[in-house]
Amino acid sequence: MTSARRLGLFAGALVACAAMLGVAFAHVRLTSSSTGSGLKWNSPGKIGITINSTGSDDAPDGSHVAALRNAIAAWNDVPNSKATLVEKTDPDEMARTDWESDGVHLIWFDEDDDSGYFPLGSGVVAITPVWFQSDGEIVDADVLFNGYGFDFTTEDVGGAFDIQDVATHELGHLLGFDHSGWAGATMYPYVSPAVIEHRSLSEDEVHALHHVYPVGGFASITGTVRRTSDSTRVLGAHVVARDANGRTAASALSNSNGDFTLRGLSAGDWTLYATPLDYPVSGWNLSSGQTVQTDFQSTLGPTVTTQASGAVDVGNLYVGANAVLSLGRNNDHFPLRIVRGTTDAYFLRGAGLDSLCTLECSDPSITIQVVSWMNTLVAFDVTAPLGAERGHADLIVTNSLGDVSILPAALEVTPPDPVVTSVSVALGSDLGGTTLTLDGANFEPGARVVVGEHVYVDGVDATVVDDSTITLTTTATVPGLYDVVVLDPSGVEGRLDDGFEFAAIPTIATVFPSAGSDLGGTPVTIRGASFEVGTLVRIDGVTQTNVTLVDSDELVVITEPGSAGGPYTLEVENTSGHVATSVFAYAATPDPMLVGVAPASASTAGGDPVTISGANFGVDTEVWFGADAATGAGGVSVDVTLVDANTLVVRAPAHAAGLVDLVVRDGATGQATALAGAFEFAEPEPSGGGGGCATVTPHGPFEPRSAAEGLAPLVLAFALVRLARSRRFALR
Amino acid sequence: MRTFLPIALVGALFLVVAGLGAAFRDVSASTVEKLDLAGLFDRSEHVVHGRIAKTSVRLGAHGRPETTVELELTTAFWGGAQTSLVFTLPGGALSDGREMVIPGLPKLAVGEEVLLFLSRESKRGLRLPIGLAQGKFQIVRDEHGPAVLVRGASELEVLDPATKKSEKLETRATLDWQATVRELERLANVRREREAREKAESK
Ligand SMILES: [Zn+2]
Repeated sequence: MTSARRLGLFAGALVACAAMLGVAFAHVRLTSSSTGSGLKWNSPGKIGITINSTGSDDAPDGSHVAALRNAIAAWNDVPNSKATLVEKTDPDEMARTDWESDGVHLIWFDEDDDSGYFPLGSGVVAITPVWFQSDGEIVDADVLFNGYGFDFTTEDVGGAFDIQDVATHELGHLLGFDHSGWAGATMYPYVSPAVIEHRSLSEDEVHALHHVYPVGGFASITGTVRRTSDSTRVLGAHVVARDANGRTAASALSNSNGDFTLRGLSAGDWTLYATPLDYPVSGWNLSSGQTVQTDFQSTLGPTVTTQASGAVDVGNLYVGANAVLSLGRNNDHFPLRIVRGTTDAYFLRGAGLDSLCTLECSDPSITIQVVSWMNTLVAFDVTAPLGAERGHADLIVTNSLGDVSILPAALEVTPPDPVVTSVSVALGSDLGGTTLTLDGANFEPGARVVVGEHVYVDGVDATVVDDSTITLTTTATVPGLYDVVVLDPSGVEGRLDDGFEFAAIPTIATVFPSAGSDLGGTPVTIRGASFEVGTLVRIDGVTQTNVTLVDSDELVVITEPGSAGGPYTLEVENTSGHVATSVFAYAATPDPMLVGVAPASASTAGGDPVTISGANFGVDTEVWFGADAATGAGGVSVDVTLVDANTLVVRAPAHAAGLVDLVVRDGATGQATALAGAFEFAEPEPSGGGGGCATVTPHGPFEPRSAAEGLAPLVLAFALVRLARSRRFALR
Repeated sequence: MRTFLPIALVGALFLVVAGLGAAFRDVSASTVEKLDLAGLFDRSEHVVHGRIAKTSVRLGAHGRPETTVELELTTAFWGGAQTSLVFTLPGGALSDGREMVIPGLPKLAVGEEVLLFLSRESKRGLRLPIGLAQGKFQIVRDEHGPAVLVRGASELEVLDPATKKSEKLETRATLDWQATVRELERLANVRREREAREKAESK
């Protein structure tokens, strides 16, 4: 980290400082160049984020959506932070591309350099322009992916950048954070294809949230960085705190007076050190223009104990003279991922890395074995114990003179990649509701499962049962074949390619009537789900030609002729080939027909005579008041007097007030017909006078035939009734 | 801002590392496009050395600030600019205090002596330093010695264009700017020859 360049001195002295204000931020915040105020949202609890619906041309399967949702969740899931990114899903808003509008905070893949911010060859993968007032209040910020110059991926396509990784970084800028000096932080300024370790936040970003958007109080540590040689103050020194386990925990840059404040800390013991911000992140990566002096070597300071809140002042933190020693360059890959329980081999670039040096990790449980020292490069093996926690640790190189260089957060400990071996069910309805069991390995608490656009989260709508089992119940998802991806909280993932298919799978709930005339022509209502344009209906293998899609949950078929008998298989087949089955029978008798009912209303008390006219009535004919005209379900059956094949006389049952359907059914064959809303039950007149409804025939002895003759000549055509019922008619 | 240009600008060091990179391929999780000085040069439409004479901020096409920079040229290593080069960057601070920042974009201050590797113009006429901070170098003149070149976000300071050796370079107080100039001129010749050859082949 450190180097003996007097150049560094010059750099520190001569960096242009737009804002030489006494501000020192933990981690690094974006600042106003006119006032030095740190940028932040004034209403951080509901920062709207809109994922542009066009998506990325590199992810035509729409997989970018879940990736971006995971990136959003990385920031939202930090406890004790007010900052909440709220995804907005209004389709009109999602169609917008006017990122420059203050009213929308877009994540947009700029595939054609429409923004004008992506000249070819610039090397810029994504940018987040942040627009703010002089007091630091952010007015607008938008994440623009350079789809013009680069490829993006959600599944480790070679040469392409991981959408979730890049988005997590850019959302940090959107929240007001600048680049981090930690090699393994999400806000590390560089990214390479295939890198996914920035998907999970480091403690630097967590402390940034606790500093800028705190819920409750936090502790802080203050002090001043000075050179041992002459007690002069060091400007822009990178001050880092390690926790009691030697893990990288928090950081700050000293300000233009050399003062620093580490913020957002909880209670604990912290070991401080100061290190020059030169490699691999330097002051040039920061937007603040802050003076960054690098003419000193990494120097350990005291261990400090903080309570849950309150400031602890450590006084002066003295740093040693510059040294010909440094570790890490920006063309190294950071972080160095260490899978716990394994040994991983790496090399890092640097200076002064000779064979008299030693290399160690700040977490003493992580061991390092150097393979070779080559002055400008060191190759080594790193071993993390099986029980090692996730998170970052520093690398420390010490030379024969005792000079030290520390590379903050260079290592990131993760579990092994999750492995998804199988999914218990390969196919489920696009309406959701399918229970899945994922078998595999290395599943850990907090895992997230991506299937389609939805992210299933352990403890929310998925359950990590044990390290080899996850269960979840699917939610409604656009039909398609999807990978099943399990993401560890560290961001590493396992994937079962094409592991689950969502399809519009039809289901049948009811078929009414359950039988019809063998001559055909019976209107049959099929209720169910996922019916679509082009859905086929077959009875006993015969394709029905007259099928009307009323809605995705209702079909009406006018039957073809069939052979008397059954029940036969009734099939509903969607365009995807998925089939649902039920049964239907043919009878050698004509279907009953309903023409009219008189009177069309009766008292809720019951007992009023009613005459039903129609055709093909017989001894097995049943009459149901209040049965559903589409399904035949429910209702109250009454005793029937069969006057003739065209006339039935019944007494209305006691029934709650209201308009009801009337169903006439042949109890022997199942043939049936219905009139929707054909009969009304009304409360009796409280006065006691008049009695009954106006349409009721005059009082007198019950005369069935005269009642039938009193029928108004209204003929309710079945088709008209169907039409009235089809008010929900809306093709998908 | 996320950039993708981890650059090894070092001649000899780059070769050493490239060789090792192959040896360690199976242990390195990802592959980085490594651009040396030549790579940086080849991506640029302008490679220019000079002093920032003037900057001005105005609202651009998006209703967002853009900063126009006037560079008083000392040398144009590539791009054919004569005495000055005017270019526009996204972002900047308006006089009323409103500001747009592009995180990662290096600041260019009036009076700075810089070596800039500038991209071509975007569809809206904007340029960026190649690799953002990596495309800006600051020239620092030591009153006691020759000019030195200070790298911004990368490791040009370990480049010794004269010797092509990287060892012990970091103990040097200064770099030979004139040697750097010779290297840039050499890269310009290489690029010119290659482009002429490609032009001839395409006929
Ligand atoms: Zn960035």
